[in-house]
Amino acid sequence: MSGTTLSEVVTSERESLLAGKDSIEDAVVTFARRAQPVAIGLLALGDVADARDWFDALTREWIVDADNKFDAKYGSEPRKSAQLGPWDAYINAMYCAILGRSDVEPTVEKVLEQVTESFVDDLENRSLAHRIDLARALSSCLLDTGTVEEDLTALEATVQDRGKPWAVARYVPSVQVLRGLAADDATEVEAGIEGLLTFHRDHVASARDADVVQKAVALDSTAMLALARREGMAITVDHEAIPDALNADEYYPVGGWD
Amino acid sequence: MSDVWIEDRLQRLVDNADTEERKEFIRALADEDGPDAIEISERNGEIGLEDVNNENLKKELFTYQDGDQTGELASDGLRQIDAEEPRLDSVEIVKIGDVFEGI
Repeated sequence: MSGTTLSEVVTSERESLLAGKDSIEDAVVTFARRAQPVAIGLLALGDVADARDWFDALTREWIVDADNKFDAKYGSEPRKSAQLGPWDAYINAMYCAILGRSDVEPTVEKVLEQVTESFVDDLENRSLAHRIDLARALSSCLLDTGTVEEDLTALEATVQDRGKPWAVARYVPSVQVLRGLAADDATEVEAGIEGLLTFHRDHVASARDADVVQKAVALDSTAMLALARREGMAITVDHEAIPDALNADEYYPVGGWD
Repeated sequence: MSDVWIEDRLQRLVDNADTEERKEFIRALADEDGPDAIEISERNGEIGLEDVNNENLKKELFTYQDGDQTGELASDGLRQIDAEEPRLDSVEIVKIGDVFEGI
């Protein structure tokens, strides 16, 4: 897909969301699913400052969106199935915090609190909701809770037990990245990011309903690279599906932020 | 058709509720005295989807035989492009409220 097309799509959707609104903060209210591709697209197009403003607003909006769904689905009996939970919204909140480089710790603390609620592991179809395990592992890693390996082992076990090829292709590399970060092993982290790029190529970019932004940017890989640099790992990954800004110290310095 | 898939589609409808007409349609889906198909909240005049009331949705699988020529042409045409494409001889419908009454 050409850069012009990505630019046109991002510009059009950005203008549509901002129409009649006073700020980006207002524009994202209830529209996180439409605003996130704008933020990612701006990052891919090299408009990093604008992208950060969108990620910043999205970080808060994803939490509101996820909390509203969490309360509606699990606030009273009978609780909905684990597969219907807002886990993806919580992961998006963490990704946006990392990519926007703001509010990382308070955001992750909130996510960890929700995904470790006492009833979560008793929900129907819990073993099929791998996003819960990924959210736990990601937040444990970011907050250094000491439970990363336990969370990663749980994620790995449920994914392998289920044996779905796309789930293996997505989550095994995620485990590799987070385990590599915990062990300060750059080779493992790079291999995990490469695995996520392969998942993006085979299961996201090639999907029949993939949009221009989904095709252009491998979100999981991009967020994991930002996370690795935040955690002090001096790595770069040159790949067309990872925005160039991720490799620049100017935008994502190695260690020492938030 | 899974509950996850249905919620995803309803979420897309709500995500695109950026005109008053579309917002009214979403509010109608949430009407407790009507379909009561979804739970919504409103912030800054915009609508957010909170939950889907799956118990108020009905799923039905329809199998049909189209006219000989058009049916064969349509299904054969799709299969020539991709053998994995669904055939146009069955469709699963999600019924919300009484919108299909009399059809």
